[in-house]
Amino acid sequence: MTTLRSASLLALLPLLIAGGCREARDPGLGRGATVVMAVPDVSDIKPDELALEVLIFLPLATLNEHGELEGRLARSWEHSADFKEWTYHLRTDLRWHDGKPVTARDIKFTLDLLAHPAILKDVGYNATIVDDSTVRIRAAKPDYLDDIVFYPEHLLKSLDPRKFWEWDFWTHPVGNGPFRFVRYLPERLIEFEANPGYYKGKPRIERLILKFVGGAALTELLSGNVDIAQVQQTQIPGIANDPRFRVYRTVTSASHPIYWKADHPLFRDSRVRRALIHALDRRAILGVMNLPPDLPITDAVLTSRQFRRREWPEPLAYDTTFARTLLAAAGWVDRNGDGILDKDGRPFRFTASVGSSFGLEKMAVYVQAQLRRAGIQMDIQMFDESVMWDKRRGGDFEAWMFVQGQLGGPFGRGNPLGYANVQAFELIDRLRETADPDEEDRIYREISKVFLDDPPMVRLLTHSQALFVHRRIRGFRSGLGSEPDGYMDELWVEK
Amino acid sequence: MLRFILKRLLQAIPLLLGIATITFAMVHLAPGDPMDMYMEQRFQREVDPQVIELLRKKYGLDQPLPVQYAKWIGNVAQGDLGESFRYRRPVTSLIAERVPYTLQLAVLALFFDALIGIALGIISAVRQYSRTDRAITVGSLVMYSIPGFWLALMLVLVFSVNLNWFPTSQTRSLDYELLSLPGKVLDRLWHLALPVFVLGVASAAGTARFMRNKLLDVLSEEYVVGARARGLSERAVILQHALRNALIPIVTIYGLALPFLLGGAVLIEKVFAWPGMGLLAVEAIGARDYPVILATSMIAAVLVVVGNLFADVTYALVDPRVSYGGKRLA
Repeated sequence: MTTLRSASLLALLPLLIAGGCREARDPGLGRGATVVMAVPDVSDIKPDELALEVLIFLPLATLNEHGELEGRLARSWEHSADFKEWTYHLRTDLRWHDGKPVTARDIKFTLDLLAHPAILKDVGYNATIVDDSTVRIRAAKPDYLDDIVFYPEHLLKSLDPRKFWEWDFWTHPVGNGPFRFVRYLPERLIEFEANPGYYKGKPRIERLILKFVGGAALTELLSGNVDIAQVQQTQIPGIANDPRFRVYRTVTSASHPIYWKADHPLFRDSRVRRALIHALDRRAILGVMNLPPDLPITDAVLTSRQFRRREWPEPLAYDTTFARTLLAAAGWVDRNGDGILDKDGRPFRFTASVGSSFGLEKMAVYVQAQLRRAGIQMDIQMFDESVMWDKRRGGDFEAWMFVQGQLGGPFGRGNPLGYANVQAFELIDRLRETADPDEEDRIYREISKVFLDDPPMVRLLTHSQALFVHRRIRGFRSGLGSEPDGYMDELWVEK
Repeated sequence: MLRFILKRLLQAIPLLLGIATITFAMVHLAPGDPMDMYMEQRFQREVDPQVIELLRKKYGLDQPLPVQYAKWIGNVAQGDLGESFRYRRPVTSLIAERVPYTLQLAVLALFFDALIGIALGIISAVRQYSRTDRAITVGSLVMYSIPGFWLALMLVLVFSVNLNWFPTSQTRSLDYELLSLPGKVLDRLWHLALPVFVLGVASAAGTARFMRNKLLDVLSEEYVVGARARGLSERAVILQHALRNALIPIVTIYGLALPFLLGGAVLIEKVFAWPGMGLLAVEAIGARDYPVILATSMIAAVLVVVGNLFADVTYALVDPRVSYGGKRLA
């Protein structure tokens, strides 16, 4: 027994010693301009992973903080009247990390490659090389290609496109962006160094490590192993007061709404749907969800540009009296005194299908309590993310609470919500036919007006993500811009 | 012996086929669509429905379920587990990368289980009804009852976040490549310590209880009483006579433990971001990555079958009283 105990202790000793030596062996922190960022995916790196797309490779242009198109590979561009054909004039000072110049051939090569039947990543673009630094791109639909990055033809043209996702190139990428690839350790990390030849100048962060930490981002951050980590909404209270970190929020025009099944007997009357907006105190939900009080709440649908320009009209007010008035006008009154409104002998009771991510369960419970006060009984059913999409696609729900990104899908003709507003349909059709940002803005304003009278949903919260960043790292922009990966070349480490 | 093993392996074929069919049906009939990962990706950009349809066609998802099933079974029979929808890579290469990590955890957890569980069981039995026995009994019951994921989170909180003694995730340090060979070994052990402990502690507690009871049974047998009567020391009685017989059923436990350890590894891998097969399976389920779900399920099923076979064969080998098919195997 004594032998056994000694053996156990001896076995543990090296581990404890190793543990004690930890600080000295972890190169991540305290080494000048090295930054370690936690990324959730412990899987392989892929060509469509954000890290590769924005750190290593560049798009032709990208939307800046104000929603304006800003050149990257392209220094200027012009487009046809229908916005379907764009001519890009490339910068002539751009080089791949191996020293070869970036040319129009790379643009055409990439677009052709991505449309290959084995890849099918971005299809529908037809590129023509005008000269070495000019490329004309015709798209099936209006588009300004701000989210496609381009790959080096000279390194990839001889590779088999059918093996695209398995190419060694992705684990040893040669790009043209602000950071150069250094090493990739499968399942563990990908490391970059500042590119001294970057056209905007060498980034001030000299070494950037993306550490794949799966779901352990918070503990990695608290243990001091990473400098930047995205933290889930529910985890924020546990770290909010830690003096080592600052919190940055990325905010997008996407939202967490509740869609009503507009052809359901309960929601058919647009006055009811409007009443449901007035019945909910969305400012209070911000507190419940650990969100800052200045996060925008809006009933309008906005283009990315309008959102970035803060063109947020005042939301409909929280006003339970008015909500009850609207509901009464639609025939919903508590006739039997049980606290639930009823009409033709039917209580106002429905089930909301709620997605199981983003802490929506907590929000759903709050909404449930708020609606109960207005005399409405909402039951909650939680579903897996994938099941939620299935439900929306099949129209199999009474109310659907998840996330909404772009406007087009859910409200157009034949939408699964049963929402049937001809004016909205026409506007959405017009939206699909234009890429003129001014025209898009105008259409969105008009759709917003339609939605005020005949709302298909309540936009509860704007979609936002919390990023905890070690205080030594500076230069973060407003959360309305792109994610920090997109402007990592502008950050620096305080000495 | 060989005939027995072959017979058992042949019997396993219809069993595995049944499991494959049921798993395939459950995976495909469950709600959720693998192509949903392209829906409103990153909340900003909706992938063209035409592209999704082309992908659906590429992966054969547009075909009737029986056709998909027949193709899948045909491919599996030829060793082709398909291509992951999510990673767009062959499933066999994905699994080949992940299995070693899971095996590291499972094998070390088994070792931990055997070392600690058997030792505590012996101590407990030898000191029956003593304070030590009671302490081990209570400790075992507590450790057996604690959910693995909760214990994992608590250990991370105490030993990683607060004390900073052990890493919170991954299998190696960032600078692993720069370390000397002993440094690398220590680094791996340092990363393995918490996950192996969590994975092994519950089964060690079970083993301790089992070992205690078995040893007490054996100690009351006539041949042990006879050995004592012959004047053998208590140490010799336990080590030379009782322990050997008490250990026989433990072999069965270990044969069956491997698949359960792999099951437990799913949660542990999730908590410690350990890039093993369990984490791959969890991610695949979330993404409705059918080929990966089916492959990992089938591997688990094969492990159960092999584990059972291993238990039966080793039991027969170590216990001469056991015979199969009318003939003694040993």
